[in-house]
Amino acid sequence: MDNSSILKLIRTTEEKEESISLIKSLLENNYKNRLTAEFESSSPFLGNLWNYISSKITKFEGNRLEIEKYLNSVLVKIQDQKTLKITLAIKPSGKLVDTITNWAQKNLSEEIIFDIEVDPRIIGGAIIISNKGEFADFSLLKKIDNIFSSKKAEILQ
Amino acid sequence: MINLSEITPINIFFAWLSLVSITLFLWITFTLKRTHQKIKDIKELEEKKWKDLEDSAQRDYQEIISAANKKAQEIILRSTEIRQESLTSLQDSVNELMKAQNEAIKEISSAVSDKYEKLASQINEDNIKLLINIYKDIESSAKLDFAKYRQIIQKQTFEAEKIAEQRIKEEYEKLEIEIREARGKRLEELKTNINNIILNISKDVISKSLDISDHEELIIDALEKAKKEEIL
Repeated sequence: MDNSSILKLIRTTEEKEESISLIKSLLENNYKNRLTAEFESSSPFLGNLWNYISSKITKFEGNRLEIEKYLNSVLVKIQDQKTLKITLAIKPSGKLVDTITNWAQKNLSEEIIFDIEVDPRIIGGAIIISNKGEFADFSLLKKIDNIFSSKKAEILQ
Repeated sequence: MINLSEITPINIFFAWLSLVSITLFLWITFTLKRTHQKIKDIKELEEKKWKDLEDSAQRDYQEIISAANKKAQEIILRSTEIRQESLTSLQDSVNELMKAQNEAIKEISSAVSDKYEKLASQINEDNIKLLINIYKDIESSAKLDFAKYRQIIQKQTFEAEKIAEQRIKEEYEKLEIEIREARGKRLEELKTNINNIILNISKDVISKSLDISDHEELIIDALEKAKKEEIL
């Protein structure tokens, strides 16, 4: 069973939480699609996710056991997804989230989701903390501080 | 009733004996009483006689005392008169003696006075000479001491001046260092403040000048670097 497509839909930790909540809700409500309208109206992401899941469920032709098996496997996969913590200077738009997600899918060997924090003090760029706990400050604040520290004498002349 | 058959010679004898005894007892009692009265009378008489004798002796004693007093007064009177006479004579003798003694003392005193006057004059002269010598010694000694003190004071003053000068120099140097340090610190603070101001302005300006595409570019650049540094 290939679950990689559904994982590509999930880009951030917020979306991960929403996905987990949706799947748990489906399992509790006997996989009924009566919540469709509610999901679609709450966020475009949930609408897309629901469309994807419902198309998969339809293929099982009401086999509850298979459906439950499928949903549980998706749930496990989502929960096991690796996270990359990234701090940005601005609140990212959907387009920006898409851009960095696409970059990750193209450049990284495994599926990751972004745990995004916003801190305007960093001015620009990003501070990255990997899932191994490695820290890298590629912010503009750091660059400017470095420049001012190294060229303080010149600046003050 | 007396039974006649009981009257026997023995009984009669006892009755007679009893009568005789009672009579004898009464006679003895009477005799004793009379003797006692006699003794009492004799005692009273004797006391009276003693009293008369005492009165008589008292009277005699008074008379003797009175006579003796009178005699004594006469003797005293007589002796007072004699003493008055003797005193007058004695006073005259004493006066004469004192007059003679005064004259003798005057003569002796005059002789002694001359002798002691000369002696006192000599001692006085000697003392003056001695005092003059002592003053000269004191003067020369004081001059010498003064010179020494002057030297010591000059030396001490010179050393104190030197020490003070050294201390002032040290304090001045210390103060100079402190001022230099404070100035350096202040300047450093000022530079840091200026640097921070410029930095904050720069940050503000750069932050405002960045648009979404710049941010996107910077973020992708950061991810590229993280990958390059094998953080991802």
